[in-house]
Amino acid sequence: MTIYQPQITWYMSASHRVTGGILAAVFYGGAIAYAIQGPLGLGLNSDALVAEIATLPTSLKLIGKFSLAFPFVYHSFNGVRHLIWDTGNALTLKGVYTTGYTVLGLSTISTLGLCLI
Amino acid sequence: MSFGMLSFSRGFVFRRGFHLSPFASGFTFHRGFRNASPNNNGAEYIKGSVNEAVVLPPRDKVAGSYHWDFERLLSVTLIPLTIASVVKGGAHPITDLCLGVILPFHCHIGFDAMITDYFPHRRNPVLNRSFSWGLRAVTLIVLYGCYEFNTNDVGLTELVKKVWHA
Repeated sequence: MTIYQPQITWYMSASHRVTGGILAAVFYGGAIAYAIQGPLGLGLNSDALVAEIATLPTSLKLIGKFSLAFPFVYHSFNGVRHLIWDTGNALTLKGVYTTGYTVLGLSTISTLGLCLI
Repeated sequence: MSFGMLSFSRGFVFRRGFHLSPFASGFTFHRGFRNASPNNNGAEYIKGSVNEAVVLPPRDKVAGSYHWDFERLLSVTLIPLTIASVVKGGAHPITDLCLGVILPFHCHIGFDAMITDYFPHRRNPVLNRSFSWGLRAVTLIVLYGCYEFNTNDVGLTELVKKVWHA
């Protein structure tokens, strides 16, 4: 697999799966931790989490926002691209590359916007 | 007499063959087709001889194209849901309810696709089955966790908003 020529097609496809996996792992981890905290006495709630995050330096907060925003935005836009393919459109080489670059561009802009909020 | 015994023993060794390589016993690093049944060769639809008509697998309401439709339906509904939660930017119980149900299902289908891709049933039957059932159990816990969080705490959208502006 490492000898396959890097192309936007399979790089974006792999990234779609990786971002989805990371986001789902974080979501699942948080939900499970909250669900089973009773007998474990973890004391997880949103106020404690917000208080913890407020104590972090701004740089760490920015890194955290970026590492959450970019996978989410990329996965969402690429998901829309997949749904466009499912309707039968943009299934040409040109279509794949055009939509691919559009997704990448939109993801970068949106991540920048989300990090600056 | 000793000369005769020597020649007999040497001939015995040559007839058995003398292999030093561990690969001679069939050891391979790659599991490959080890688990595939040698009788069916994956041709699970052929019952009896090859001259009989193919018996297709029974139709399944849950798998196949219905599964595909359901998966796309979930993905499509997530688009307005996400936009609504971002634009409204605050606690909204109905959005949280929908997100708390649709997101776990969406993640479950994604994880299930990864399991079928990397641990196919034909190659890793035990891992495939244990991961599949483990995933179902975990998704149930996540559904319960989302319900608890939406009920007893601020809710999913409000959590994201608070964390983002912390």
